[in-house]
Amino acid sequence: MPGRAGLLALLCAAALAPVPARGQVAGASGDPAAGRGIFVERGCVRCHAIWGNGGTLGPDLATAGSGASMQQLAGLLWNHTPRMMVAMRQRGYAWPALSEPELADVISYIYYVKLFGEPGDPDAGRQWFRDKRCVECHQVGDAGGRVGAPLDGYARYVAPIMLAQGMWDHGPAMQAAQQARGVPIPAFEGREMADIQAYIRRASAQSPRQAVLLEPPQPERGRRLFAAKGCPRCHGPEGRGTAAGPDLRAATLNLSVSQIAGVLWNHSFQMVARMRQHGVGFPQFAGNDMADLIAYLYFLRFNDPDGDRANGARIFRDKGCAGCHRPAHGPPVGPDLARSAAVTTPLGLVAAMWNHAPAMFSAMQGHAVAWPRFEGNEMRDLAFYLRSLARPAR
Amino acid sequence: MSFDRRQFLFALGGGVVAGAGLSEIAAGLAAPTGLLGPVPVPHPAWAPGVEQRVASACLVCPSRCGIRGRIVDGRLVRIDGNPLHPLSQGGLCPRGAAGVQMQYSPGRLTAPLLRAGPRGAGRWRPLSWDGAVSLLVERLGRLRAAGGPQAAAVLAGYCAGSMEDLWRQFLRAYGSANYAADAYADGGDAVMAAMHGVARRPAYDLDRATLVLSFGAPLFEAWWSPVQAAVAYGRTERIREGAPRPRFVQVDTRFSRTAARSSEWIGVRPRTHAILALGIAYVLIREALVDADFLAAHVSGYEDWSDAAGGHEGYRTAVLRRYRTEEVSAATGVSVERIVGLARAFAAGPRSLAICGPDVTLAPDGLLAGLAVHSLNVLVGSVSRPGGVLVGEDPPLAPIAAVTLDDVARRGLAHGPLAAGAPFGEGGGETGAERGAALAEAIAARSPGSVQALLLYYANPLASATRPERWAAALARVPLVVSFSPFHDETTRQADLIIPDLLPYERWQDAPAPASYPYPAWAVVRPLVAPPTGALGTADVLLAVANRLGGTVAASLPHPDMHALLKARARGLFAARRGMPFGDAFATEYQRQMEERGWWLGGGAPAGGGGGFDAFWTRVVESGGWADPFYDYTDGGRMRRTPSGRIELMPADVRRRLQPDAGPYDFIARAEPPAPAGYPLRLQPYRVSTLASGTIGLEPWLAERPALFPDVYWVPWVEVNPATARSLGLEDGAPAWVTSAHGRYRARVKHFPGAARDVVNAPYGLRHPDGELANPLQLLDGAADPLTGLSSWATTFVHLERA
Repeated sequence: MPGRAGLLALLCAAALAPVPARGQVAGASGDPAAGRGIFVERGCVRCHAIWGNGGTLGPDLATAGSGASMQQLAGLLWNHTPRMMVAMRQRGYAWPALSEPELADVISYIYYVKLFGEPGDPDAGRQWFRDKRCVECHQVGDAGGRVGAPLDGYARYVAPIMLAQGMWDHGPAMQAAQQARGVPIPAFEGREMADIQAYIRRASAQSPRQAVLLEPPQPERGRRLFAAKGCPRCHGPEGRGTAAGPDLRAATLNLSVSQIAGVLWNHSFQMVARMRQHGVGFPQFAGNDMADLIAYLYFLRFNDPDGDRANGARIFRDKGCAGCHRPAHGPPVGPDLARSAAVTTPLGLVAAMWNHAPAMFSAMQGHAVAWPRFEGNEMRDLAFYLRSLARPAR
Repeated sequence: MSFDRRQFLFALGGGVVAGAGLSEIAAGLAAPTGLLGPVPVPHPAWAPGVEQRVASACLVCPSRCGIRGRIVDGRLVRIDGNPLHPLSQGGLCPRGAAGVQMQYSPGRLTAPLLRAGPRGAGRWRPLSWDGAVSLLVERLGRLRAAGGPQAAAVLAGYCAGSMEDLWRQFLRAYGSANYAADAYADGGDAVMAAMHGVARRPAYDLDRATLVLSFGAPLFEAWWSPVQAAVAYGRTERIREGAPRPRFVQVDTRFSRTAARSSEWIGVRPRTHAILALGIAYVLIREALVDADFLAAHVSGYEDWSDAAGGHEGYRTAVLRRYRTEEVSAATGVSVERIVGLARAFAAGPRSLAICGPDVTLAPDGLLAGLAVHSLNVLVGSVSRPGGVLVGEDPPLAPIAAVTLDDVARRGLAHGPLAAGAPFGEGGGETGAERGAALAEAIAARSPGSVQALLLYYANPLASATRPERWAAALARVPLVVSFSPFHDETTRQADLIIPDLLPYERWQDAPAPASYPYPAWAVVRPLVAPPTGALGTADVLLAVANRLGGTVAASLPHPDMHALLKARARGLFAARRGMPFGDAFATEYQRQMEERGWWLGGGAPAGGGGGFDAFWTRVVESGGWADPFYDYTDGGRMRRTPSGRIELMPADVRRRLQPDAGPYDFIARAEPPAPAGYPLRLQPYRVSTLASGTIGLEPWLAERPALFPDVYWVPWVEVNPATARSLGLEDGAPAWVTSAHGRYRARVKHFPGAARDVVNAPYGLRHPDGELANPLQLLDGAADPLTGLSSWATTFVHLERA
């Protein structure tokens, strides 16, 4: 959970900061929609499921690796390669070769799908609606107060993000009214926002109705919005923080759209105050704005281009990579990674490792070398180290 | 000697080898000698056939499964299920597969025919397609010009999707309200109308149900979609994951195919299904197993109540007063222990579902019996919940076009329909299931000229009606009878003009999933093979006639052909921002999961963009259709559309129509009339999915295939308890006359221990090999449910004698 002061600065801005170019946007390094197609076409779905939909041999990828960045997900994929290879051989499945863009797509899909939380529970939502005292001001169906606007209209949306956006847009007035009535400003955690939305949908007087579905949030649109709303001024051009505002990457850790929306709401009261102090108008959202912004924030963690070179060097040595790829004595078993074009990009290395995994597995078995595992940020640091060595052959 | 490729295949003994390793066969015949004399030598031009697999949809029954035609050199050689269709998921019944035989039936009509002799004499002269359209335009135009468009009527049998919309729009723009359906109905929609205010047949979430309690619903035989039931019952992935197989319990008077395939069969006495249902309700109430929260929040009529008219007995009191378990056991023949066990299991669920079928609803008190069965769902709150009763919806198609009416049409429509409907369900609507019979009576009863032109679309009432003689009398009073049947049948032989439709594998059409499926699914029927040169489908004929009639009729039907009409309607799907072109199991489930979370994936667009409507349309056609796998369970208002806004356990509209001293749930108090003298056996007609169409002569595969018994095929049969049959001197397989007070037909006696001793089970839709009908419906006693208008199938008595 990010510090309060950090998120205070999210929208606390008065001037536009430099906008990151498309290539710098983490989400642009893979296409989740294309990744979904590859996930099915290359047979990943035979063993892996998304939300229980698919095979059961491997872990459900909608939950496995939750909170992991692209490099960390790549590490997880690598770690389970031997088991996967054995299982695939037993079933006669071919190893799915993936190009670097394809691997980026698949990993971005596995990353992206975790953004979509489980549907809410209307029974729990009814409880939250009462406990957080929403019911005192807002009517849903035939119950509730009339201080605020009735919420029946939100029932047409299935996703809770439009409710969150409505709350955001009315936040200053709402919070003033709550203070005037001595009602504490509610905070939302976990799935509470989704639960309340599910309750509104069940209890709404707008029934029967036609559900309105939203386009999945787009990080790239969120990036533009992030810039347009002036967020970079405090949080930096890529949300990594400045002296005026913290690094936002931690704000979305392990969270879904509605959960991130709850985090934003929870800090909005202080943001309003801070922005008022600076004479900055409170930003309003329309359409899919909030969802897109949240997706952008979510994808800030996707690709971490930095790393610890010294740690990478240690990993290269201690995990036995150097023994094959840059041996101190004798000819290398594998290619010299310092001269490989594959190491010049983070995913290039991962793709090369993936596609050569069967050969590496056989070779390592032949040399009785244990399969190296990469935990935490080890894959990131290894890639960073190898990039620093890169002298691609001409 | 010279052989072309086809002759060669024929010489080999059949076209089944087409496209399958022809070169290998040819190689084996290279030596031109043999014991039987010279054999053909391979020709350099011989090559494997060009094979295609094209997605479409099956139109031979209301299930409308997805199909995939295997086409070799332009010929349809095989029909399989389309694995992308979300309902049928690649499944296909034998009847769907036998469509190949219909396609190549030698009796198929390929050009319009004009009667050349007295009606029924069978003398015809061919007419060009343009001549047929012109004749129809001239006759219909003349009616309109004379200010009598209401004298045109349509009798439509099996009519799916936009085809029904097209007929109705044509008639409306033309100026007639006389559209009548001559199709099967089971009264489920009447139950929904009475208790929920929903004018639609119920949908069932069979995929998620854990206990399905079927009261006479032929789930695996001739239900709205036997494939839907079979897929739900046998979900291999669910079983593979360790989930228990759902428990299907079949309450039936006979050991039906559904009973045989279910987890359990509970045999009951005829006409006691509703008593058993209310006996289960009694235990649920007594043991406080009802969903009290659901009843309090959404249901009226459970408790006694008072209003200006005085005090009223509620459902709870009515059941507790009349349906004590011992009495229910005595009435139904089901043991007390079993009744109590069923009730407890139904309450425990966790997702229980009660379904009623025609054995319950096709009776003089069919609607009330249906209400009794469905009340079980209400008691446990299995309504608008996963695994429960749902209200499906139609695909969000764009309208065909705005209907514009001129003065002629307005005056014609002001006459209203000739035949009045019943209060509830399809029987009461403009497209009523029994409106066909009512139309016949109206034509026969009204002054001559009330119907000047009768258009028959897949309707053969002289064979299918319970009283064909009424249709014969009606037809005699209609100056112009036009049939669009692609085959000669009993009614088409009485027509003046035949404009044969294209066969289902030659035309564009659409095929929405049946109402029993909770999700909107719209399959596209597309030509798998080329139609006869110059031939037109009925839809295209209708559009051409509208165009040539001109004025507001043409403006209301502006599409040049059915393909254009369907494509225009698909724009509604494209604009709806929901659903997807048919996809594989993962894609469909993923779409559902994303929509449950509130997000739409963009219609299954390929990565990198959707490509606009034309690309969307191409994907819909190539995949076989469009579906939206999301159901909004939180939208409970779908099920509460009564004036009271609540689910009415004691429906006000029904109670108003009952005798003052009668309640909706009085079954146990009503005495069943005894069998009339000379007719000791109760007739129980039922449908067999593969045989119920009456088209058996077109598909010999089906006749040759043992339908229910391995030793019964080709001939109509009746199932009789062996003891009963022996007492009548009828051995297994004996030819017999089945005779009621209203008629008789021939059938073979099948000894069947699963038949009750006093019941004759009679499959419907069969013919003898020579074409002679064996229709048990023509023996019915004429009783009907006054609330639905549906004929009673359960109150006729017959006797058997050797034929």
